Amino acid sequence: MISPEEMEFLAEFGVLTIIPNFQQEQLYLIGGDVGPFRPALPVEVPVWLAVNLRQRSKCRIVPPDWMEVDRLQEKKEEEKNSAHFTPMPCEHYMELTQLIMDVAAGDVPRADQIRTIIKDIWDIRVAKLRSSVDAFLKSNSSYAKLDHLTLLELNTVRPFLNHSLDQLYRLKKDTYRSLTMDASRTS
Amino acid sequence: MAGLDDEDIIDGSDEEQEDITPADILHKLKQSWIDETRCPELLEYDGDVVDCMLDQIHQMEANLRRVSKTDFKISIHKMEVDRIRYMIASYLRCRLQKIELYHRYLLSNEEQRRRLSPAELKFATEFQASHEAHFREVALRHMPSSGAAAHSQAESESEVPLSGEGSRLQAAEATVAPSLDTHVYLRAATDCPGVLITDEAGDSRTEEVDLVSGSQYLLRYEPVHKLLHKGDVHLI
Repeated sequence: MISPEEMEFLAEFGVLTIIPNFQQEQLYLIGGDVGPFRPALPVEVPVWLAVNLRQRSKCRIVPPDWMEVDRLQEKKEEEKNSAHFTPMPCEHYMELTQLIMDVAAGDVPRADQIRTIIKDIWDIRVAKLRSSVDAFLKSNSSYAKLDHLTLLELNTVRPFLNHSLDQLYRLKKDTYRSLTMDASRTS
Repeated sequence: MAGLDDEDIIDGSDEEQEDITPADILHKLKQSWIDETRCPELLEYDGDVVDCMLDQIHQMEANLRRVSKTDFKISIHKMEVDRIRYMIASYLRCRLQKIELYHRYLLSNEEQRRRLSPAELKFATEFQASHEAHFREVALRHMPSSGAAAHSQAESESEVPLSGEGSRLQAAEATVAPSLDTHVYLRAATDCPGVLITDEAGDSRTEEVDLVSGSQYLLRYEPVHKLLHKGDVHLI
């Protein structure tokens, strides 16, 4: 339904801190002003710009504060011990990790460990999501609250879940309609 | 100062609107684009936002032409322009797909018609005309009276009968309307207390939900479509 490329595109609207190695006055982008850029002075830029500059070796990326082994380990424990979904530090944590690791793995201390923990958190959450979907379908409820779920996680169940729900509803509606029709005919 | 020639690139300052910055409009465009791509029905055309962003892009491109080609900032500005252009194209393309699918429904209903931009209305009308001409040419004219009746009915395009009784192909049956029973994912932008979800299936029980600002939900589109039109919720 939503392509991974589009998810990445959306994640790129976020903001990252970079440490540039070049000099540049403020840039007046349509989405807002960025800069000025001074060598070795951290500056906040949109993610897409950070990735682009890093690809051109124009800067180092400062990993977001949540992208750190101890914090993530804590998060993982919390997620494991909670029956519900816990709030994630970033709406696009998976995409951002991917984006940063692709171009700037060297800028992130203990990158491999971080990659593993993020994957673990993801696995825990997606497993939880699957069992919640199962519970939701069995509960016969007409809505579900999806707090603290990120877009990419929702996307793993979206095409299948939506289609099933639509079909189920249609069948139920048609059955109900034919039942009431029968009832009105006999009365 | 180097700052002076940067201002040539884009002057966010001499915008006609005082309070709304291009960044706000960009945000609105993103929102409309996401809503439109996630929504089963065609939403109202956000013409002002699209026009304004196209304006910004053209202005930016004109400015870029005046700057030396080797300038560092050109590639950055170009990249941003490409991103915005992608969103606009995707937004418009998504609408065209819906128009091609629902053209008959959209044109038959005044409230739906208003959601189309003038260019889209022209497209829908022409699409419908060629669609019908094609069907007539390929199949209907080779059929005996039943087919001819269907096509004259389709042509008259007035008062479409709602239920097609009998075995003849009726215009209403050929009309594809968006299904409001589709399930959608949404995030509430403001608190929306007491949203009624009527379950037409089964015991026609009605559930009431209080949508809390910032929370995400999965439910059928029908109970929330008015809230989406008002902008109280957004699809995700």
